[in-house]
Amino acid sequence: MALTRGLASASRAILVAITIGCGSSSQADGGAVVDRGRYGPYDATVFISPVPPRVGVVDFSVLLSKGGEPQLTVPIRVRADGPDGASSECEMHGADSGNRLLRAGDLKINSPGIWRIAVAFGAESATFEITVGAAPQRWESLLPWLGLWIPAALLMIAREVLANHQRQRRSAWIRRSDS
Amino acid sequence: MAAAIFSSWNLDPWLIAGITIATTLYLRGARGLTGRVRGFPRWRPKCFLAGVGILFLALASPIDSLGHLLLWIHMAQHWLLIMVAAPLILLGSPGIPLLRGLPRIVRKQALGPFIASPFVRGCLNALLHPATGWLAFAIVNWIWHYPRFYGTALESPLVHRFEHASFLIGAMLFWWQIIAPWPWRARLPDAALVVYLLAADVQNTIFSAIVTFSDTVLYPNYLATAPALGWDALRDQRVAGAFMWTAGQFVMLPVAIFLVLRALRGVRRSSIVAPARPATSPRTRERFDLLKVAGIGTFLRNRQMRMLVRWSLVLVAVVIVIDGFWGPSDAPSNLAGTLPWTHWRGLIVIALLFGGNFLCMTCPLMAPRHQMRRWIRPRFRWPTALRSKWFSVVLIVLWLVSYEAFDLWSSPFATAMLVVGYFVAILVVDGLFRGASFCKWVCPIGQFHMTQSLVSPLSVSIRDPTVCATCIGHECIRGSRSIEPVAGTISLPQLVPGCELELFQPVKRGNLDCTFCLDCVDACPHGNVGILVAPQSKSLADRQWGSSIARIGSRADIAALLTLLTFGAFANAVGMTSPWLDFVDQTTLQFGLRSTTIVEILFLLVAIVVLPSFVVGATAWLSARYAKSNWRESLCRGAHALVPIGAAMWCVHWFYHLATGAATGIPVVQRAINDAGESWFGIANWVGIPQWSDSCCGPTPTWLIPLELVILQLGLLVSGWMVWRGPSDRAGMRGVLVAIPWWALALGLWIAGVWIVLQPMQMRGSATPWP
Repeated sequence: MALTRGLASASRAILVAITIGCGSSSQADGGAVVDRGRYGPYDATVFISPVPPRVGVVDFSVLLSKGGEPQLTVPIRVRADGPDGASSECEMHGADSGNRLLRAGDLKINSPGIWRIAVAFGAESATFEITVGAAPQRWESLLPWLGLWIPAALLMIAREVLANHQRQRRSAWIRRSDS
Repeated sequence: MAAAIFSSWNLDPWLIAGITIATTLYLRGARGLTGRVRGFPRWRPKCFLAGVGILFLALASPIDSLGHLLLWIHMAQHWLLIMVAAPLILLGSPGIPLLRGLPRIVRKQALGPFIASPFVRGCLNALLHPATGWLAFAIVNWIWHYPRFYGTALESPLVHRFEHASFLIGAMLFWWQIIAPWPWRARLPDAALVVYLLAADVQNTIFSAIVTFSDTVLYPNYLATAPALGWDALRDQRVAGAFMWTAGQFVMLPVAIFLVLRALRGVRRSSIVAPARPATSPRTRERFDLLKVAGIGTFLRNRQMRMLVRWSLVLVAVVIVIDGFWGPSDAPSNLAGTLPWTHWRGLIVIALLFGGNFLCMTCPLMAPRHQMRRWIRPRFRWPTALRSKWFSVVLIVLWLVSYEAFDLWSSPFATAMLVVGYFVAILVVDGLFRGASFCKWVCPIGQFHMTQSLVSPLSVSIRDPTVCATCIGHECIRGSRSIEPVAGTISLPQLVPGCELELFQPVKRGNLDCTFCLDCVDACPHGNVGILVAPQSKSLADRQWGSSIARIGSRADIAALLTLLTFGAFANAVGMTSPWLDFVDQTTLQFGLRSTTIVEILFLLVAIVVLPSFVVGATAWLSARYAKSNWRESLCRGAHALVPIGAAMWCVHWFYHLATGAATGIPVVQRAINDAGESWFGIANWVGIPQWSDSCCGPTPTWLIPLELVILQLGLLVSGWMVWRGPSDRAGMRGVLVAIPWWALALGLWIAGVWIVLQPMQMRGSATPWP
């Protein structure tokens, strides 16, 4: 009994800690493969998220290996050049990735169109293009949060209909027993 | 590489929150069952915890991360979900403990009609049919392993979560028939269950054989990732198929043998689906009472401790006033410009939403008032003409208008004047008039707390009505003579006052007019008053008479106060949005005015007086037409129903300031201490690092806007519910017609709130760069 009480208290404490501490962060657990190939001695696979990419922050992850061994210390940089001459660049780190075998980094993509991506690792580099869509409207990206009340309201209506039905049945039963 | 693998944990907050909530509810519900009820022995909670632990391991550990790179590890993850976590959770018989773990009001009021409904029971019965369980298990298995769907799940985290959820649910429906968690009983005899299980094993074998013996890579995603880890993609696929094959049988065959042996022993089981009745009745729980919680309850019950908190806050107020008068005039660097407007307001809404009116309980004004009352006995009674909320309504209008028009938050001097004015006002009013006249009839902040605490979960109320029914002293309102001597004085009995706000506990309804002073707790000789969980909506919706507030449907002054604060929430919040500020600037220019003050005053008067009078009046008129009832009563009850949406907007607005500006308290306090010639709290660093020290607000955290939207939706739902319980009286279709105007108004307010939340915010008066 004491154990379950202790565990319940601990669970509550964890819940509070999560509620306070949980923030959104880029998980960089992959997404769609946009490029893979052998570059010099390296095998590189590049993932992006979200799929398809849209204006805003795009998460790039790279799985780099050499002879079947993931390369975790080779410095990796990613650069994006946009159609309007804009560019964005960042260094990729294992610490930014949920899966530490991958190296991840976020790039700010600020216009729709075809972007040229260059991923440099050691002396090698992989280049490819991605098509970036327009940014979602603010309300569009928050749509899942805006519609939560609708299913909740439907459940409340269903509850009320059922409760009303049960009340009527109970009254009918009482009337019958009285008569 | 090993270190990288073992540090690849996916600590998804939603997963952890879900698991923690489920575990908390289960353990809470199992507390009264374990060892007391036949069918719920002590090993059941252990099984549940083990199952939840495996679930966490499968979804959060490096198994999940590596599953994106190697197929066989992904299959191991699915095996853990389907063959280990699901049966272990069911062995914990989670149904009844989870229901018992829910708060009583949720269990009885929200879920009760669903549980009692024959239709819902029929649906549940169909869902728990053996055919459903078997088909769910097989269909989920085949659909999600179809390469196209599998690839989609790998690329989209959302689809991947859905995939795992469907695996777990399908597996639980399947194992339900075999395990038959208490109090349900198996529908099939053991011999039939063996067939049921072996049929599932056959489909698993067929599927595993297809994966194992395929000559092509079925899942192209692994063509890129498996070689990077030294695996050939086809070899990875074959290992995955072989794993599914053998690991599936590793669980299913022993269970099948166990069932065969049990069937041979001839243990017969009933096919009745109805729950078995517990041998002994589980322990019933009392209502939560904050005053009975160890530590905090003892602290709150102690009159001296409550007074100590108030005096501590007086000290804080004095420091704020000194800094406001003589500190820097720049609001973000002044204690008077930050602590009251950012921190204190944010804490108010958190306390009100999750607790009760604790802000009035700890009000610093009460300490000097208490001291003054020792020397001065007030002679007058508060004038009868002013014994309503109309005076407070006028003061709140003045408050909201002056706050917006004269930018009180941006002037430390004005803030300090306001604090001093408050202290003077309570000493004058309560020095002249008996009772808690200032709190009940004057204080605008108190009115705000008392009205918004209508949505609080806690209420000062009686524990046992039968005790009050036999009480003849009525000490909770009249006061009593304490038998405990006062320290340092002659041992004479001390007068413990009763409720100075004239609330008689046995007929008190809701939190309206209650300052949580706990005088009634001290005075009650039976110890029958506590801080209890109480559904406020129930007390507001009913038509019964309440102490000091009479019938809700007859109090137009309270309705005006509530309406004012509801619309005030939106007007106050819109004042910090960029579109509104642009509009004010343009209008000011258009009319050739020197300052924006007149435009702001006019706007506020329209937004909090004219518009609500018209809109709420028209809504009440429409609603009363359908209800064929009194327009005034419809108005009064409808105004109460709008409180939750207004409270949600206040919460969203003030919590925004707290979330984005809480850290500024540190450099401001450092600056104040440095100015006093001390540096034990560090040196204030105004420029550059840390970034938050250079103005009031940090960047908006990404979780804040979704949280604000959720709070607004909760406000809308509770308002909608209170309309149904209040003005419409839950009267069938006629009730719906009566409720529609109020629902439409609540929805309109919600849309306004969402619009405000989505606008860019400007922190006027606080964004001045530091010197």
